[in-house]
Amino acid sequence: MSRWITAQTSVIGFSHTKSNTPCQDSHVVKTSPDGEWLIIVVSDGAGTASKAEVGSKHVSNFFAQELLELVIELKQRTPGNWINDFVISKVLQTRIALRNLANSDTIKDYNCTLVACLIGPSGGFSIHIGDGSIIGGSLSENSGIRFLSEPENGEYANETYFITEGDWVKHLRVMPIPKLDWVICCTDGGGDIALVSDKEPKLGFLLPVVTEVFEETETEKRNEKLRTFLENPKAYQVTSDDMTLVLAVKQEFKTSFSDAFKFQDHFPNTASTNFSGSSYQNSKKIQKDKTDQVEFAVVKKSKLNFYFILKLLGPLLLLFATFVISFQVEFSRKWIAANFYNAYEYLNIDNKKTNEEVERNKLLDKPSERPIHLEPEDKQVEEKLSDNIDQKNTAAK
Amino acid sequence: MSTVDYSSPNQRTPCVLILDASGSMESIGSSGKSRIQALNEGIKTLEKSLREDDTALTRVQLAIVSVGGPANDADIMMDWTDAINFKAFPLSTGGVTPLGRGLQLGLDLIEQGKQNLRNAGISYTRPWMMVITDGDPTDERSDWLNAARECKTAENTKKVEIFCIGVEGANLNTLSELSSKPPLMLDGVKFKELFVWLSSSLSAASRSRPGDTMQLPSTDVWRNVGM
Repeated sequence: MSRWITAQTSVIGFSHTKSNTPCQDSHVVKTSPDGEWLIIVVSDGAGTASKAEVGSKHVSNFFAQELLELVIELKQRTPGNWINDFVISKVLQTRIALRNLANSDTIKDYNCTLVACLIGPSGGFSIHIGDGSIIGGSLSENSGIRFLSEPENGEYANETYFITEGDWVKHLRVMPIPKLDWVICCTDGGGDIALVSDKEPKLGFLLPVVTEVFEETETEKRNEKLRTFLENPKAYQVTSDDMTLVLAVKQEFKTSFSDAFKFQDHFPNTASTNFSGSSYQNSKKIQKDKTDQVEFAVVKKSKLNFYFILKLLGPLLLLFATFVISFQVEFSRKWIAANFYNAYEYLNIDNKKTNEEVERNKLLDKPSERPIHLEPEDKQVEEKLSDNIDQKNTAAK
Repeated sequence: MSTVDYSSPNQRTPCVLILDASGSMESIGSSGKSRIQALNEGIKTLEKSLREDDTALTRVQLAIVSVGGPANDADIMMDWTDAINFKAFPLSTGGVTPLGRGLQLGLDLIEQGKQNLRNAGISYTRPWMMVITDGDPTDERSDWLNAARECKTAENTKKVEIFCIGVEGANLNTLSELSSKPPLMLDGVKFKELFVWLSSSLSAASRSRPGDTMQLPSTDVWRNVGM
């Protein structure tokens, strides 16, 4: 069972109703199979792009699926610089898949933004290109934790950046998220309604809406109720744009979600980490300094002789152990191979793929009738990524 | 159901009007009205139609620079004023047309206005500058060229959106130097139609969303199509 309960909806703006264009906003909300991680992806298709609704739908579906992989990685590895590379490679794949879907090298017709987050038991990450907002907070007493990923507009309020543009990597913002109890993701249209200048929750809207919406126990009914608040003539006066709101709160706080909007808390203007991940490198350095100090303290405390003997013998012991283990592994691998020619077939392991995975692979493996040209910027990004990996490999050697 | 707060986000669309109030604006057209009379009525129409549009009323911001007039100089007649506080006032004519100087004042106003909005934490769309004149700029040729070049650069670097309207007698060749968009010729003294168009265009601009193309109303109602 999921640890989170959510309410989400995308509502068509009146300018699009008038011009008979479809809703160009999309959203996808997922939880990891174990229910621990929440994944939200929201995308706002640009009004000028002819297939923006296809673009935003693709980006939210595809990227949400990719984020599930990040969850799996995060369970095995400690968070670090690799997350930036991982996210970049996932955005690259989303773009490649979109090109395959479009069967074209140019994806300008699919212009859309990317607002995504994944949150686990002790925090997570936000991934953001363009406008739209992510805000969140804690409901535990005295914690005062606040999170904000702001929209990035150009100088003017009616300009922004898209995942489909060549220079997306310059506008990609990956930020660590602290441990949160509630989170709201929205497109700029949703932000016009639910936030004050894209930075603070609009208490007058969120308090009554959250109170009413989260009275419902079924997701469907919550979504429906949220929709009625957005499909309001008054809301159409606030913004002519499509509106998307995703509200999420941890199970244990579902009755107290509205408390978050009872008092005017000031949301700090959280500085964003850019994709070079410099803040992470600093923290790693600090950690290293700390371990050095600890080691030094150990030497001082313990008996020196014993320590030196251990230090001399240690590598030898380790070498021996590695030898034994690798021998055993190699042996057992051969043994399995010899005895069970096809272990999967023999054990009848069901290697079933979910629909989303099948869709994803179809898009990525689709034999292309056209030669694939990455945009020059994408090529640079790819080269940089593989450089990063090379560097790590040489460093490991 | 408790009351839900549906209030609009704070945003502005600034527009500076550079209006010719030189002596030549006194001349009387076929309708029996002088150009300046028609222009002043146009400004009143602007106030009226802004008041009829809720979004425009809360978002549009105006400033007015007069060129010529009794002081025979370019002058800031009205500093940045929110549409909701905007009261139309008549301009009086006189003197020559130091349009280049007027343009420079306009550009300065725009930079100042942006700075003020940034300081107040209010977002804004690209400012507009509408130039209306019936004559030839009387600045020194080099001053005019400087001002026109600055305008063009500001336009190309997306600092401002320039609309240039010529009234009968205007030198369109000279006017075409200050914007990459060709100047448009006003049909007679259809200032009223022009300002209704300006109001609804500003409204469209103030409503525009990222990634949208702005749909401006047709200029045919006031434009001299023959030109």
